[in-house]
Amino acid sequence: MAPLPETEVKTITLTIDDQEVTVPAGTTVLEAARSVGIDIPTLCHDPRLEPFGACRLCLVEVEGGRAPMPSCALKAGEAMVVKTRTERIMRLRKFVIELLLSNHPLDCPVCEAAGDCRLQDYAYEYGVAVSPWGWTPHEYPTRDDHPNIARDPNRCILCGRCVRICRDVMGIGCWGFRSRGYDTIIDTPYNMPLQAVDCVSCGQCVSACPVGALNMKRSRFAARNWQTEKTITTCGYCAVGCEMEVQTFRGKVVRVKAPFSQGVNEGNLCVKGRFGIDYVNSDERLTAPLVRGEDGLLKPADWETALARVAEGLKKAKAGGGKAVGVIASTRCTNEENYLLQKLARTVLGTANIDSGARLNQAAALATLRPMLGYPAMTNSIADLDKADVLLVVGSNTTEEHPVLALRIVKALREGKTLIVVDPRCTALAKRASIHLPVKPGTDGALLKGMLRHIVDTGLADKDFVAQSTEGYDELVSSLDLTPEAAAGIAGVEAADLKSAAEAYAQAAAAGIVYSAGVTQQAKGAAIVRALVDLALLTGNIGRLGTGVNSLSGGANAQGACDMGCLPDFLPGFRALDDTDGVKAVEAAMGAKVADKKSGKTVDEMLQAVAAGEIKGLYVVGENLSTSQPDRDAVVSALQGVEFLVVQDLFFSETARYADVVLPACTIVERDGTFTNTERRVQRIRGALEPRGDARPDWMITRDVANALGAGWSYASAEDVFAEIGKVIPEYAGFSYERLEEQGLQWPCLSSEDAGTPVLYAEGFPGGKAVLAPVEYQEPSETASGEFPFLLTTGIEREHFGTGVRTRQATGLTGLVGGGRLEMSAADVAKLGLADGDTIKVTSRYGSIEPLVVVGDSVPEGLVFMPQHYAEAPAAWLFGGEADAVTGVPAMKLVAVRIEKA
Amino acid sequence: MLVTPHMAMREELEALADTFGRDRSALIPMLQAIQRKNGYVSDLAMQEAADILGIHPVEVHGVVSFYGFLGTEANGRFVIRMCQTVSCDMAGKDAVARQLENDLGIEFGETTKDGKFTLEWANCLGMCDQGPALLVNDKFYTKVTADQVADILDECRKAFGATALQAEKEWLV
Repeated sequence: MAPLPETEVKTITLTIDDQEVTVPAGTTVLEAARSVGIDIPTLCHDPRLEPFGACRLCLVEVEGGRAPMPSCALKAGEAMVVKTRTERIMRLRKFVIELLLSNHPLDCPVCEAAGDCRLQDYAYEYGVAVSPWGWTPHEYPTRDDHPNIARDPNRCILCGRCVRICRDVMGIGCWGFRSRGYDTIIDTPYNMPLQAVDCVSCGQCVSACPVGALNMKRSRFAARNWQTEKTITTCGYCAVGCEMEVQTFRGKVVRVKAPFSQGVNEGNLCVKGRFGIDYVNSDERLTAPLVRGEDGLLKPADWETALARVAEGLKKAKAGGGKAVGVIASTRCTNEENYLLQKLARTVLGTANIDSGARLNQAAALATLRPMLGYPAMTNSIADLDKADVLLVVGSNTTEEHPVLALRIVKALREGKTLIVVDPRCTALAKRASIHLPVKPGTDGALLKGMLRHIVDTGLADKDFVAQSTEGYDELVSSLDLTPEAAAGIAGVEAADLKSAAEAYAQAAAAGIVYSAGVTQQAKGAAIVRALVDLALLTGNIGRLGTGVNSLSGGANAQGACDMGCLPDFLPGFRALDDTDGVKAVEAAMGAKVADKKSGKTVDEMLQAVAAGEIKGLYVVGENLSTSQPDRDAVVSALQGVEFLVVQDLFFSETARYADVVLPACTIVERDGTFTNTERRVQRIRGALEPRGDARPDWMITRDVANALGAGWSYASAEDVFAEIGKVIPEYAGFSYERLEEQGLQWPCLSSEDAGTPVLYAEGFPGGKAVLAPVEYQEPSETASGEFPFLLTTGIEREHFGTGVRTRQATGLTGLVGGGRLEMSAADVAKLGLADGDTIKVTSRYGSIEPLVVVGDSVPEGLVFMPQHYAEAPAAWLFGGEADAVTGVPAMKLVAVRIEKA
Repeated sequence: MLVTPHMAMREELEALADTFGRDRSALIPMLQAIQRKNGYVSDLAMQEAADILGIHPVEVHGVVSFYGFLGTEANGRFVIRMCQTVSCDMAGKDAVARQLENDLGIEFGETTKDGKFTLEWANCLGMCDQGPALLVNDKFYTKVTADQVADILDECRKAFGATALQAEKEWLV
């Protein structure tokens, strides 16, 4: 599929330093000059920010102009003649640097920024050794109150980049200018500690600082910029897939930055990306295989012993028939690794019991997006989100779950676009939304039904689009049995708000939908996704920039894990097991037979099958089941009860405790491969360090396991595996490591000439027509009652990921937020006679945990919230393992609980 | 019902927002009103103003710390600002300034212990042809001589004494 035809862009030709430059209209002179390698010095300029024109270093002379002009704010004009290095300009720049140096502490030998400091560079370049204006540095106290961010206001040159990036890009505003004239200082409101003023610890301000006024506290004195080796790779946490520059020195990761020029993040990173990587350096890492001896203890062993033991154990289990083994892959593994895992399961172990943690987010896409639209993936691109005139965000606390993607939404807000948020909690986005629909947990389906009905009733549906490109309209309409008023009543929102949200969405020239785990992890998640797709199809909001149904996946490679066929019912490339031609094509490309052509078991079903004695061997890669899965007792007894358990992970996770063999894997900075992010972009991850101890990359381990079982695989590198993937999956056919080198590409990419597909369905639907599905709504099975008077919902926190196997080993993250805790409204806390910080006992029908209670303003009375990450109080244990009938996703969003003081 | 200072401040700012509007352009008039009434803008007031106008507290703090006539610390009831720029200087501001410091027993930048007077320098009050110039709260005194200082201070003290209520209105609001 070809990318969207780009609208004709007007170009402008100008002359800079006698060189002719042609740029698109709207480009600034600075950008134009830099595009041809002419360097103009800047201090206050940041590609992520609007021009500010404060530092006056980027002055240039324009022929015919009276005074020198700041090139950062000057738009290139046709036939403009620009000189960047005239004698006058050089004199002015030198003057600016002299003034800056007149109060800048000359402590470069101990300054963290030395070697990566614009002021230092320019002082050198312009030969300013001492300022003729004397030297009177400030004597402000340095501030050290944030765990990751150190601040020395004396070094500050008041360029305002930190102020602007926090206010404009992050939409927060922790920093501001205080006082005036010589006394001006960048400060937090009332000089409070950063963490007391809404700081999300993203470190964007640090990344914006051109000097050493803000620096990364944890990497101070670790290594100079020029000493470090720099590797561009992709972040391994959430599905946004930010490109980052990992700086290593003497075998350790020193710091992380983001390149401005590439990647979906355009130089931005969140707290996990920037400060969350030092788990790599953790001493808790597994460095040798562990094998359980006859005495029942896990002891270090060499690889030969461990692999032999794995082969023996899996063979023994397999003797009970192909269905007796299960493989659990991971969203943390690369495409190559996941591909090999499914190949191992299907062709070597002969089972279709292969699943991954990606199910939590992706299964709904498979069950709904695929049959209704064509592909089980986000329809549009991240860069698209701010092109929407109206954004409908449902069940996604985007600023916490996908922080860098959320910056697009913040940008849309800043540009005055309409944001509608459907969320029971008043999240950061909900607070800023044009319309916040605080839907009662579990009633999103009713709400959407009401919106659809209102759109149909008021004639706002795009009738031409519906007629030409969809089928099933009548069935949809006949399923809309709730009036907007009735729907609003069920959902607990104002009918007027519901109507205006529906109208805003339907009337917008381009309206996009964003949804995430808040929808897919509900008991009736698939039904809600269907209603969302209906909403988009009914109004023709698909296949264009700024529209679409944007399903945000969970883990870094959740999309990839599904693409690779780590699913019990689909082969790589989403070919169903009963699709004979598809299976044949896959078999031919894989060079091996798919032994088991009946659907296998999901993670939950596998664990149940263990209890029933059907599954005897489990190979678990990178998933921490004992904390992430609901119905804890069943999970733990399954893990204990299974005859042979292999766990492959970075750390000795809670799940590894029950293993017979533990295999030490590599982190993302120690191996090569590719991740597929939420917008279907396949991006490279690159090894920057040697594997720790005896640890090996996952793809190598899986290969060796397969070979120990007699498979005879000969992959010598991840790239070899990737080449095979290209043959197996048509949508990946156009990819190669070489093509992905600079910037990832978005699938479908059918040939090596294909530039990828940023927007799906721009040229129609693969099945000819999209399908409008009838909307069902069932009341949530969990309701607050006398015995369990509170409703509990769960979610993700920006500082942690998954079950915290990695993030809780990252010293840059652990200090930022407390541990397992439950958020409750002030009124409820008072009603129960609790105090902020008390340990409480939370009991549901299925389990009980003991977190701390904190007072929060995001939850209304009667609703409580818990983050999912904490092993000391895993919220998953409160859930009973009820799964969506369509997707098999365990419901992890709503449970009724009782709360008492512990 | 017990009215906390917090609630009182909120109420006051809400009333001001009703008068001046609820977007960021209302910020300065709101802060000026608070400054006139309390002699300073407290952290609490800045926080509440930010909430009401939907802007970040750091912006409010930036405005308060930028403008010389807004302050974050309590001023005296009467803020005496003496022009220190060239023409007032040549017209003899030094003598007036010394007299002010002597009579009040404080230096410029300080507030008297009884909280009545604050002495501050100002940069040009726009009375260059009539220097030395003083600004006492909102009232100008021009061509001030050292002998007049006692009278000016007396005027303030009287306003604060017998007819304080009436005068406070006149002076302060």
